[in-house]
Amino acid sequence: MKARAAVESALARIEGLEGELGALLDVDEDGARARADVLDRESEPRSPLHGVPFLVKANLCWRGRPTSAASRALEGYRPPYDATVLAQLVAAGANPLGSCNMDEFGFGSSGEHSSFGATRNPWDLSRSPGGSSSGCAAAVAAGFAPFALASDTGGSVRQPAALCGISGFKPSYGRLSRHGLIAFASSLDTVGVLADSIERIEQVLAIASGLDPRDATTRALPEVFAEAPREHLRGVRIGVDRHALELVTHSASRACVESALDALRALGAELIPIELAFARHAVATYQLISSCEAASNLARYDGLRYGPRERGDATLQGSIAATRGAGLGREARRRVLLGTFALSQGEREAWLERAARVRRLVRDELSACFERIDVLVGPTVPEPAFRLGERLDDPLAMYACDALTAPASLAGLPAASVPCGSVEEDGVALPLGLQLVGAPLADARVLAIARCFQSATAHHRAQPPLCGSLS
Amino acid sequence: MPHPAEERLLRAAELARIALEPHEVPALARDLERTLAAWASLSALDVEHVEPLWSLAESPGPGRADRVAPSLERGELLAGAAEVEDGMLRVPDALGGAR
Repeated sequence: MKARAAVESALARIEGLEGELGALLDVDEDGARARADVLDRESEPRSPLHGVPFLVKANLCWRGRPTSAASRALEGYRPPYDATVLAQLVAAGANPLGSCNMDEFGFGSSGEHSSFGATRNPWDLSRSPGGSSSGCAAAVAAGFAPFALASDTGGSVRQPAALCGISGFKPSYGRLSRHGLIAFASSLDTVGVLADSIERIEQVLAIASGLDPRDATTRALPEVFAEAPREHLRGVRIGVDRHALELVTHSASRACVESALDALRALGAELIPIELAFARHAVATYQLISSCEAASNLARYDGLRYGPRERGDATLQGSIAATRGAGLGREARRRVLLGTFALSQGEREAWLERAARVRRLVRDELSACFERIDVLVGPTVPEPAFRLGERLDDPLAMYACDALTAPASLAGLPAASVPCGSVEEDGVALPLGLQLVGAPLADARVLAIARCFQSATAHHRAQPPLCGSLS
Repeated sequence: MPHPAEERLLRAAELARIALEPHEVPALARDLERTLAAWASLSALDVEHVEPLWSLAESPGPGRADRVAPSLERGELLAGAAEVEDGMLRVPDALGGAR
C-alpha cells in the first residue's frame, strides 16, 4: 500500500473509533500526509516499514508536538528534539501519526490515571485496556496503526498487549535507546513495542536498536535477529513457573494458558517445571524501587523550566509546591510520596536498600534458571481485563497487576507477550496473553519462539467486534 | 494534632515539595500506611549478606568525547517555560519577597 493511502486509511479508522476509545492525545494529520507524499515519491523503499504508519506513547519526545506523558505537569509541552527511537524509525521511512494516551508518567495498570481521561478497551468498552501503555494497546488493537512505540518499566507494554489481544515486547535493558523517553524509574525503564504481530516487532527492532551516544545505558549488543524463523520447537526447553500459574485463579483463564502450553508442547518443546522462590516478592520490590526512582526523576517538574506554573504564596518554594500539587495527579502524588518517604533519613536502609538486595536475589535466581531452559513461559496477566473504576481506589490491587511482569523488569530480561486465546465474560470475548521471558540479552530467541507460536496459532488475528463496524 | 500516619505523610509531602489539600490528607495517609504494610513482607527475607543491585548497566557505557558540540538553540529550550525575561528563566523570589 502507498504511504499516503495507508495514512488516509488510518485516519479514517481513527475518525470512526477514537471517540469511543480515548486512545490518542494528539494526531499529526498534516505532518503524516506530508511525510507520506515524500515517501511515495522515493524510488526505493528505505526499509520494510517504509510508509507504514505508527503511533508513539505520549512519554516519547516528538519535536514540536505535544508530549505530556498524560500529565498536567507537562500540559502544552512541545519538546525541541525527537527521541532517538522515533528518529530512527522516521529515518527508515516509518510514518508517525500521533501520540497515545497513557497512565500519567507510566504510573498505572489500567489507563485510568491519565490526566486527560481514561482509555477504553476495544474488546469491551466498559473495561480497562491495561496500562500504562493503554492508548498504544487500544489503538493497535483497533487497527489505527500496525505498531506503536511505548515504554515498559514493570509491565507497561506486556500487560496492556495481553488485555487488548496484541503482541508486545520489552527488550533487554540497554537494547533500545531511552534518549527522549520521559523518565519514570531509570534502572528499570525500557522502550518497548506493541504490534499486530511478532514479525512486525522484529522489523521495528531491526531499525531501532543499538548503541546511542546519548544514552549511556545502551550497549553494543549482538544482532537481534541472529536466529532464523522456526517451524517447530523441537529441542527447545521451556520452563513453566508453577507459582505464576497459581496466580491465575480465574478458571477459564487458567484453561486458556494451559491450552497455550499444550500448543507449545505440540510444536515439539519440552516443558520443564521451574520453582522461583523470590519472584513472588517482585511486586513489593518493584514498587519500592520504582517509587523511589520516580520521586527523584519527578523532582524536575517544578514549573520553572517547562510546564504550567502555579503562583502559590508567590515565593519560589511556595510556587514549586503549588505547581507540583496541582500538576501531579493522584497516583503520581501517591508514588512520589511513597518514594520520598522510603528515601528519607532513617528509612532508606529499611526500605530502598532492602528492596535493592531482594532485587539481586530475583535477578540471580532468574538468570540461573536459564542454565536449564531456553525461555520461561507463563501467563502475562492473572485475569482478563477488569472493569473501569473497579480498582481505582485500591492501589494495592492495581499494583498486583504487575505480579507476573515485574520479575523480568527487575532482572532486565527480554520478555514478549503474545495473544493466546480469550475467555468469555458477560457474553464478550476478552483476550489473554502468554508471556515468554528470555535469558540475559537473548532477545532473538524469545522473539523466534514467540513467532513460532504465533505462526501455529490464529489468536493474534482475532479482532475486536468494534472494528467490524468499519470494515 | 495530626495522627502519626498523617504526620508521616505531611513530612514526605514537605520533602517532596507537594502542596496537599487538607481534605486529601487522610486518604493519602491511609494509602501510605497500607502500602508500607504490604511492602514490609520483604523484611522476612534474610538479605544481610546480599549486595544491593542498583543498576543493570554493567559498564559505564560508551561515553562521549569531552568537547563542545552543537546544542539546541536557547529560544527552543526556553519555549516551554512559564515565564521568560531577556532570554532567561524568570522565577519567583527565592528569599520570600513577592514578584
